[in-house]
Amino acid sequence: MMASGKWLVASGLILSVFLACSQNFTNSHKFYSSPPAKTESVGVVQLDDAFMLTRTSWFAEKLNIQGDSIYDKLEKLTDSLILSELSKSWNVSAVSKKDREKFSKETLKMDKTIFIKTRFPEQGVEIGNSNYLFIIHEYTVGGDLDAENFYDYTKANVEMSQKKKFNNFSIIATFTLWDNKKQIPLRSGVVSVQTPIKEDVFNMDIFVNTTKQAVQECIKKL
Amino acid sequence: MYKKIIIVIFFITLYSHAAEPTVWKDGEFLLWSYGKRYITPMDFCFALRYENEKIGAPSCYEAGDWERDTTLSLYAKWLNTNLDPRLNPEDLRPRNAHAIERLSKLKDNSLIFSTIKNDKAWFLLFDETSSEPKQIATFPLTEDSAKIARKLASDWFSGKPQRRLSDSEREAKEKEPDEYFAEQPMYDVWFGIGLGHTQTKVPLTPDSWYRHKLNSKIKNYRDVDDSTSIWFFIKDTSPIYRAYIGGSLYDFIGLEFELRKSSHKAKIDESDTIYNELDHWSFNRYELMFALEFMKVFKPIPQIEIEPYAAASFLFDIFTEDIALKDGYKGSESYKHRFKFENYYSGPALTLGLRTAFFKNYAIDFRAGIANRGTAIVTREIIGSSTYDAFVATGLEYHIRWK
Repeated sequence: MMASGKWLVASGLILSVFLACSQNFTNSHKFYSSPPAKTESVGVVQLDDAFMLTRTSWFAEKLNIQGDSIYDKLEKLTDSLILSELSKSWNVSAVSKKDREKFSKETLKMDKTIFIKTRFPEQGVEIGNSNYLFIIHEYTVGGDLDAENFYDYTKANVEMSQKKKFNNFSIIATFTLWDNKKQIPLRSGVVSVQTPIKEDVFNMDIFVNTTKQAVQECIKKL
Repeated sequence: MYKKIIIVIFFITLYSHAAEPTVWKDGEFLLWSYGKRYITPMDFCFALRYENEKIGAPSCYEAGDWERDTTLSLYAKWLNTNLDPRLNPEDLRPRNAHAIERLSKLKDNSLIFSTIKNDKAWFLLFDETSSEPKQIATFPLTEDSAKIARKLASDWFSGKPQRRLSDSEREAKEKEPDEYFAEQPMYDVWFGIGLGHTQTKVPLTPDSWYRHKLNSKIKNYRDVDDSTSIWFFIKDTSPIYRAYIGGSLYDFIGLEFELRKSSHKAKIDESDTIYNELDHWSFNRYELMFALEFMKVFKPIPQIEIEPYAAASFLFDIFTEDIALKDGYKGSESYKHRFKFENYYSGPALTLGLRTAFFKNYAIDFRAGIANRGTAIVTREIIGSSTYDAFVATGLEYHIRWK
C-alpha cells in the first residue's frame, strides 16, 4: 500500500514536471523585464467571483465547517492568505471587489492551445495609487485538478470522474501582473499546486500551506 | 544569393502593398486629437488635393464626437501613455467593446488620431477594417502643420482612389461571397478546325508488332494473309482533317464532338496483273468522336491560360470507297468480288491534350491519342474487327467564355 502511494506521488511529480516543460503557461508583454522591486506598491485585487470551490461537501466535512458558509469562509481566508503572502515581496494594498466588478472580461492567449479568461481594468483608468496590480482571474480549489483540462481547449472536453477519494489537494490559479500606470498586462501565468493527501486525511493546515505555496508559485513565475 | 534578395524584396513590396490603406474618391477624413491639435482640417484637405489629383473633393473634419466620448477619450489617454516605437499596431488595439464598435462603424471614413508623446507628434490611421491602427507615423515637433499634412497625404493617400459605395452597395458587397468560395461556374464553349496525322504504329513500340500488317498486300482484289485489322488492306498513314465543337463547365469537365476525315489507299500488289484494269482505289474514312474531357486550368499570366486535359471518346467510323477502272476496261470477275468493309465500325479512344488560350478567346490545341475500332464480334470472317491507330492533331479554336 505504501509502495503504491509513493509510486503515485512520484508519477504525479514526473507528470507535473512534464506538463511544466511541455507547454508554456506564461505570457509576458514586450515591456516586461523583471518582477517589481520590494519597495514597489502593488494593489492585490480581491478574489470575489474568481474563487471557485469544487467538492464543497467534502471540504465541509473534512474542515468541519457548515456547508452553507464554507464558500464564504474559505474565500475570505484565501484572500487574506494571498495578501499576507504577497506582502512579503512587495508593499501591498487590497483592491476591493467593487473595483473588480468594473473590470472587463477578456481572453488571453498563453500558448497555441492555451487560453485563460481574464479580468482587466479599462484602458486609461488607474485603480488606486499603486504602480502595479496583482490580479487573480480564476482560483480553483479541489482535488486532483489538472490545469491543462481547464485552460487547454484541446483537452477541455475531457470527462473527469467524480472520485470519492483524492490523491492530491489541488489549487489552480491564473494571474496577471498589471501595470496600473500604463494599463497593460505585464506578465500572466497559470499555476497548479498539488499536495498529496494520505489516507483521506485533510485539515486546515494543508489548506493554508497549499494556498501559500500557490502564491509562491505565482511569484516564481513572474 | 541575388535571387534570394530579389525574392525578399518582392515579398516586402507585396506586403507593403497589402497594408496600403484604401483611398476613396471624395472621401471623409476625421481628425481625432488628444491634447494639442496638430494639423487643421483645412491644411489636411488641401494637402490631400495637392498630393493626389484624382482624390476629388475630400471633406476633413475635427472628430469632436470622438473627442467628447468618455470611453473613447480613455482609449485616447491610454494611447498617449503607451505609444512607443517598440510596439506593433496589434499592441495598440482598444480593448473596450464600445471603442471597437465605433471603429468598425467608421464605414469608409478615415480616422486620424494624433497626440504628442516624448517630444514627437504621433499620427495613427484607423479604418473600419481593423481595430488596430493601419498606419503609424511620427514627426519631430519642429515640423510645421502643413508639411506634416503633405507628408501624411502622400504616404497614406496617394494611391488610386476608389469610388465610394452607397449604403446599399456596401451591404451588397458584404454579402458577396469570397471569390475563392464563389460557386459561379465558368462556362466555356469552343469551335475548332485542325489538321493531324494518323498511323497504326505507336511511337517507341517495336516494329515487329506492325510488320505483318504493314507489309501486307492485297492480291486479286481480296486476298490478304490476315483480316483482323483494316490496315492489312489499306494504307494506315494519312493526314487528318478535323472540325470540332465542345463545351466545359467549372474549367473542369467538358464534352466534345469531333468530325474527322482521312483517306487511305488500298495496298494492292502491283505485281498482280489483274490490276492492269484499275485506275485508282482508295477509301475515305469519316470518323465521329464523342469525348468526355477532364481539364485543369493554369493562368501563369492573366492573358494566357494553359489547360492540360485528358479525354475518353466513343468513336464511330464509316469507310467510303473511291475506285475507278481505266478508260475502256471492263471490271474482271475479281473486281466484282473485291472485299467490302462493314457498314460501320465503333470503338473507344483515349486522348491527352494541351490547350493554350490567348486573350480568353483564341486557343491553340495539341493532342495525341490512341484509338481502337472494331465490331462487336471478333472473328476472322469480319474484316477489321480489331483495328488500332495512333494520332496526333493540332487545332485552332475560338472560345466563348462566361460566368
